Amino acid sequence: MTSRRQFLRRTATTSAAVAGATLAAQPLALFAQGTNDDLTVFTNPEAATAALPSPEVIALNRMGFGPARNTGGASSPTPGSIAYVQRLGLNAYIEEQLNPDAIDDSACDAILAATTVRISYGPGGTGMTAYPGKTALEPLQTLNQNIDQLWQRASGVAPYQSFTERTRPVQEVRVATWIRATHSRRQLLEALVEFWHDHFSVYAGTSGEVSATWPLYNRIFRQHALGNFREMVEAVGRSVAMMYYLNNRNNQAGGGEGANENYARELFELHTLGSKNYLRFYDNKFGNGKITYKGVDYVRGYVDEDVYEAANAFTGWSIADGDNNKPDTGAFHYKADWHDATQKQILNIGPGNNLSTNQPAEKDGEDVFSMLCNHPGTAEHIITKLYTRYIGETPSYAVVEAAKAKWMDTVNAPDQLQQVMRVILTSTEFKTTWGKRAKRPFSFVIGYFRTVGATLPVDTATEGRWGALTDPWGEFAGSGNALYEWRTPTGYPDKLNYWFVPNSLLRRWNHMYRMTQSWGGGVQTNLPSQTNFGQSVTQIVDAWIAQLFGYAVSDQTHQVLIDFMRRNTGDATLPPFPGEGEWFGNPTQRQEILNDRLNAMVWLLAMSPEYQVQ
Amino acid sequence: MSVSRREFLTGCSAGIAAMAGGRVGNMVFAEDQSASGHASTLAGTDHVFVMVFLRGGMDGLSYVVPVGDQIYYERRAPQGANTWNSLAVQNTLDLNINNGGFGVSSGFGLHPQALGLHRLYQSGHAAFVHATGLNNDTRSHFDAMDFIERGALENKNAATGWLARHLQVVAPQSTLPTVAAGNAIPSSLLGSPLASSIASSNDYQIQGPWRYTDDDPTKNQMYTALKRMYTGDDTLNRGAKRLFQTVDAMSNALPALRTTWTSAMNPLTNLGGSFVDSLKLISQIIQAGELNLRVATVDLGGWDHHENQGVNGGQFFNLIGTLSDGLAAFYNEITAAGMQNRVTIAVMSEFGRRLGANLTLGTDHGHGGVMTVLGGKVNGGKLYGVWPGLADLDQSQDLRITTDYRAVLGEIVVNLLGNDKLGTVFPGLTEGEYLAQVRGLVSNPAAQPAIDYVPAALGTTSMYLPIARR
Repeated sequence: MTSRRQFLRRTATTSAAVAGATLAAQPLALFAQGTNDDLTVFTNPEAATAALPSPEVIALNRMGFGPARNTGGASSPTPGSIAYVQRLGLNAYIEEQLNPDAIDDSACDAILAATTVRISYGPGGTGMTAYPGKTALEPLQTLNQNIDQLWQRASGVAPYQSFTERTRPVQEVRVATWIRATHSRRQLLEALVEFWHDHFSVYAGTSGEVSATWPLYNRIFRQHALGNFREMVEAVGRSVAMMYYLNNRNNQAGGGEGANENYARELFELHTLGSKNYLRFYDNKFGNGKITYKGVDYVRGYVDEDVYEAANAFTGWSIADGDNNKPDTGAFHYKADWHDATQKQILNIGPGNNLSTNQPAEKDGEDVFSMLCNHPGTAEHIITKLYTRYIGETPSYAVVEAAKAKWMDTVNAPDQLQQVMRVILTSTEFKTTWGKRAKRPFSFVIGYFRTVGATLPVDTATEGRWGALTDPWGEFAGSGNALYEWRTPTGYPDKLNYWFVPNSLLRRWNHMYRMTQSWGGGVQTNLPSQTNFGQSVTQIVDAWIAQLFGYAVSDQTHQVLIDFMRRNTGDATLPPFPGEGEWFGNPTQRQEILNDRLNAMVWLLAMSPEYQVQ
Repeated sequence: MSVSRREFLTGCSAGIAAMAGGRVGNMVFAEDQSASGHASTLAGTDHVFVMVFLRGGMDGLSYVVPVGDQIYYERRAPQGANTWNSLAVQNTLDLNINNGGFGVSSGFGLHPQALGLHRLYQSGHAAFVHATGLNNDTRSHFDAMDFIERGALENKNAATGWLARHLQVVAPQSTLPTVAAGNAIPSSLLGSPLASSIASSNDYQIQGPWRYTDDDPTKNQMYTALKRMYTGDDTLNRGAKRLFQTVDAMSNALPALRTTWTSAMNPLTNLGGSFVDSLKLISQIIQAGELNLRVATVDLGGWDHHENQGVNGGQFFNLIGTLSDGLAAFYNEITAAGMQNRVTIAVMSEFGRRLGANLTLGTDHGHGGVMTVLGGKVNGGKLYGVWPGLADLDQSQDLRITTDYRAVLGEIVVNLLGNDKLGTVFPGLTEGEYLAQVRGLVSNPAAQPAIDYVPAALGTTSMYLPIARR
């Protein structure tokens, strides 16, 4: 069944795409005039700015962080560049990206291995607990550590007494994430890891334990991003990060208000079924009906009573944190004497207990995971989110249904998510939809770095680099997308109208300038060296449009850039030249002026309407 | 995926919206509304409304505390509890209820960290409304916030926020009628062409090489070029155009803004934290009167205390201090500038918390909570609402809601903000729900206006079943 909204939006898309090609310089009237309605100020029609790029450009933008700068020409194109995907073919590229383990990523691994991050703190503690200060450049060392090693940091035992040592693992994951997003050939994997971090969002600053064990949390998504959803849900549920963030670590049985519902509620509302399937409070929880999918009956949705019962099912699920006679290892710990072993009724269609009394250890919780992950409502919730992330805000019924069928067929398969992603990425909608998804600030900045061939400051020989006050992601926080710092369990939004607001737009647009300054992060981008100043203004602008976009921008954007580069009155068919009021005494000064203007022109390109969407 | 009425409605309003969006920038809403007969009969006023939203579900029972109720102690202070692990607040500050309709005449105290707010209450500048909130059963933070901020009881996907609709009706003639402090714009301003966000007044301009940028926007060549690229009318173009308007407005007001942030009497300068930074920004903009600010939004998060709530020292204790100190300093500063009669602050959260404590010394999501209203035109020193008691609970576990949150906000909208189109701001709110217990919460210099209620026209049908109530 097609909803009226989907129909309206589809119609609008078609006219936008057609009009975009021919009338790009004019505002588009997408909608016929309707009746007046004093309740409506306005909402957000789809972004209608850009023409439809080639499928290769679409794939590079939405399956990863945008095309890489090609330094290998047409014969041996740089992996991740537009020429690379053209040479490989779109379907082969999708298949390559769906199998990240088979991709040789040694170049990125070498950068990670060579990366040092500054750590600096003063002496602290007193008497027996005194510890010395430290200022050093240290390699990334926690990314592959296990819980035994990381728990030492969490516990603050020597030499990790300083809070800076405890939070160091988050910083290392952050640095590695920036480097991988920029340089890894496994672009889809990196984009999926970002997606799942948002889906199972944990605020990394929750506590020292969460910060110290962050590499383990990150590795759950690296491991399961294209694997089995239920396994990922369970790994998250057992992690130190989630256990501390949503308090299940201390969830214990008790009468009345005993159990702590925090984790159970978000497991239902955010991780699996979604609020669309939340029926709220019912006097009779069995009165809320059922749905049938492929001949199997499922409860229509969940009610508060299901959350309370699930909270009871997870009582005793904890971390060996050394409290309450638990061991102090940081491992998952099932505390049997905290567990409510009574019978439970969770997500059942009619009266009766579906979790019996005195089940084996951990079985209650595992049953809850299975019930949630096997429910078609979960499939639809997650697939709709994946569609929004990888295609756009208005899901196609046909694609969602096809992916849902695949999801339900492969619910126990180890490569379930790979198969589901294949359905989404090989759909016609993936290839023909453009501009309906905001580049979030992280995608925006990384995409810019990739296209201009930026060097992140990984050779930290001087002050003012990673880990110091002026690191790029300190500056980056200004646009509102700092990694792992979203406070609530929802994760960073994917909505155009969340990101396209004044403060966030301003701060993202200033990133290109600020992050390349020594005080703003010191990212190296030598734009003049990639420019032939002997070419005409128009040729220079067109070369940069080809490099940043890989497709034609609107006539309006094109003209603004030419006017800027020729300084409004110059001849665009001639090379750029200093203009009125731009004094220069010698060729060096002249080139400085032109370099400034070129930098500003390329930054303006990245500030253009076309560059904000994907 | 079946067709839901909600999805259908959303689709329709997007179409209508595109048309309305053509007016962005020239701000001719007043004319448009009189043409369609929807202008407020009131003129709209120069009053400034500050909406402070406490995100996470603030425990109203630990804020305005029913110290006279034995049930409160039974449920909040388990046997063996001491000062540190009890969820019963100690050393509360006495509150005179001063309200015959409240149901009880004594037995309430304010959290001891709310010293500043207590003084403002005693001096008649602050009021509390107890047992208030969203009349909807949801225990989801995110759904509850959406319902509240969009001002719709049953449609969390309503296309516009309640403050957006208010601004549309009063159509302020101003360069900066509304500011959300921070990066994001809250759902209460969703869909407003006037909405803007500012995290800091520093560096609020396009930056780049010195040759091609300038503090003066008219001389900033990159900025000029950027403006020429954004002439479209989609979400992105509107956001960009609103940014340009904000940059221009802030830049023009820069001399006045500088005066306010260097003010020697500025009591906010010695306080830190992002909440105070937000209040400082709002204070600056209010005092730089030429910006004609009408509506500001500020968030203070971190209230989701499922574990170790710490009402007598700890998370909750500290946050109440942050809230009270910040608001009191803000109000002092506004008062020192002689503007307290033009400013009203309302503070609310998406819901209160469960009466009973859980075993991790915290509380889970509940229903009824507390709203705080502060300002020179507030008839303060009074505890508004009707106390339902703790014996008869909602769903046997929560403080009942006896005052719809929309009634509290509606009182301000009508009497102070000069907007009698209450049915437009809060669709479906009817006379019967415009509860008498908050009448007189704020002083109206003019006579009581006739309120324009209109029937719910926005998403009265949703995919949810009707609310079950006990």
